[in-house]
Amino acid sequence: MAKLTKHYNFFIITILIIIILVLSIIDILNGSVKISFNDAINLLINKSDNNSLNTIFFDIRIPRIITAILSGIALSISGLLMQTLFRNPLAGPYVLGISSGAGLGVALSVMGFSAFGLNFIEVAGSGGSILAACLGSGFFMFLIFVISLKIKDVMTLLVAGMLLGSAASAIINLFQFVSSEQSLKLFVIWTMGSLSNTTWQQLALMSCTILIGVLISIFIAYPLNVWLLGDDNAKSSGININKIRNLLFISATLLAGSVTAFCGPLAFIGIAAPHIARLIFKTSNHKLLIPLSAIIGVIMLLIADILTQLPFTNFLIPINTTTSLLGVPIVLWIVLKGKKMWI
Amino acid sequence: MENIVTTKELITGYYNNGKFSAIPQYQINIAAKEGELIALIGSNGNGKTTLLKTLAGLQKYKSGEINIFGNSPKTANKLDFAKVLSIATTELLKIAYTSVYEFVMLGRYPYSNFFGKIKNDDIEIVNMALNETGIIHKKDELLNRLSDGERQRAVIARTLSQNTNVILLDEPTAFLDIKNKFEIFNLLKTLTLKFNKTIIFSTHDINTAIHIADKIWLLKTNCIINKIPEQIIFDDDLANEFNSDYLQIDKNSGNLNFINKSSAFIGLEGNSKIQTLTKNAFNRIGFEISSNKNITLNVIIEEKGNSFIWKLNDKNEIFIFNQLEELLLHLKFYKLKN
Repeated sequence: MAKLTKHYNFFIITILIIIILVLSIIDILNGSVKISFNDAINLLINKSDNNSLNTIFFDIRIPRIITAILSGIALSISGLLMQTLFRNPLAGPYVLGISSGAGLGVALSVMGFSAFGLNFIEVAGSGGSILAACLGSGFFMFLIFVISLKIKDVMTLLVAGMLLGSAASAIINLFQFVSSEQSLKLFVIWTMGSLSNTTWQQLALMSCTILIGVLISIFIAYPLNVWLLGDDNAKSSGININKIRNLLFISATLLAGSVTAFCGPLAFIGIAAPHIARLIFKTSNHKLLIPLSAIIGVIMLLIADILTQLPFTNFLIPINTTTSLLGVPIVLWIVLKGKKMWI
Repeated sequence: MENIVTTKELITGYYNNGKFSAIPQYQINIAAKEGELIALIGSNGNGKTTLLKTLAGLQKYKSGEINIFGNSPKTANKLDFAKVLSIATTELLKIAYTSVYEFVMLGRYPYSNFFGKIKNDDIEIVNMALNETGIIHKKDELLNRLSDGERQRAVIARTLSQNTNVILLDEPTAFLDIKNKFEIFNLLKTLTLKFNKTIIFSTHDINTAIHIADKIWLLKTNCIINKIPEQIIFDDDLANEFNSDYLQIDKNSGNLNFINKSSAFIGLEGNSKIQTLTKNAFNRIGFEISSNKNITLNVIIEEKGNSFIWKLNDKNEIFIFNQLEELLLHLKFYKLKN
């Protein structure tokens, strides 16, 4: 029985990785400028016979794929961690208002400073917006956690998350009112989400923070398995809950914050990917769920990104729209499962 | 034998907005020895769960001392303490995809490195725990697919795999049917005898507790009592704590009896084996047996081969019943009329 499951899992994982490779290739070739497979091979072997194609391929498409993969990993692991922290299957960076917190941080850094005639991004660089997004998401995650200590009900907590999101939007509106036109435009584009605005330098920064977040999550995977049994069970097994909770906070915040800083709020990937992973692999073990959710998250985000550039058309849809279209049915399905909402 | 669990002038309770509310309102001084099976009983709200959680270090206490195998839950290293004492609370296990085997393996947390690499002796102890609790045949089943009885076995198996001297269980037989309940009680008894573990469990099933436990910790409203069951019955401690309008503790057996309120009297004659049952039935529908010869209602039981007949004499009118049930219906109707 157990052996069979191992083979089955290995088989599925192999297929999923092949899917990731295929999707990546499609995503690289797809775009307003179509690149053929042969062109891509040529570009990889000997660069620079076509300068503009070269730029598109190496400075836009490849960074976009890497961004998509990194974001998929980060959002899904962050969602998984939040679901464990709140014992809530509907927890995720977007629905709990934590992305809004990151948004608030970014709004403050992009528009808030412009109100005083400063350009924060110019002053602090992209590290500044990552920091602002992480601080914002961390603060909101802390708020929602404090609320969760009082509210045990799954649905009520989500309402609280929505309220926090609305509060963030209200403050952001205020900033929009007083900010300069240029920074307002910058912010509105950010809210639509995009995987293709990251430069190599930003990618380096993003991969560092995500790497730290992922490493922390792997480090706490085993105690999280025990913690999933409840606070009492975890404490009586000798787990220092406060320490694990702090590490979880740091990890989830770094992961959600850095993605949101660069790509905007990408909805529903974080909530849906861990559920699909649980459903396929029938496990609640974090040691498995962390890599598995990451794989599913990457696939979802790649599909969402391919859909932004509708095949055979020239329409470009914001990625936040496509992730929602993919994620909402899954979230609905979780809600309809009703009382069996276990993680 | 030495005490391996002791408390000295312990005041338990909980903090609410920084203020401490003591439950119960007195100092707790108790002790448990190696291999003892201890039943913690008491009315709701007297602090059974609070005491168990406090002993396990899950809840803060105001003052006093706790000593568990030389460790205090307040100061001991958490991992070391987890090797001495394990507890199963009534916390709900809401996990979708954890198998019984994985669940019991998580009991090995205090013994493993931070990444939880499974060693050979982990596998050995987990298999032993699954075997002893009789759940090994369900080891690949998901935890949330188990029946209540099976889940309780898995929970006890997890405390066993934690390999501690002391095991605390908060109401391990709540929600169980009577067969499973007795099997779990028997399991606890076996574990204390076979592995010399000290098991302290809270229960509302006093009737069974006094028949299997080595010691009873009775949390009363004004003090805690720590005695062997027979002493507790002999000293009338149970009666003093639990006797009420509807509940009476039998002084000899310690059994709990329901008190039926009687509003009428009836005579009962005949010397057959069915007499006690008939008397119980009369009590149940509110008739008290009277030895007064002049009573208006009188029943005589006669033996007829393998069966019985009940003759009811009601003011010189005689009714004959072949079934006790019919007699009871008649009496109920009689009570309504008068």
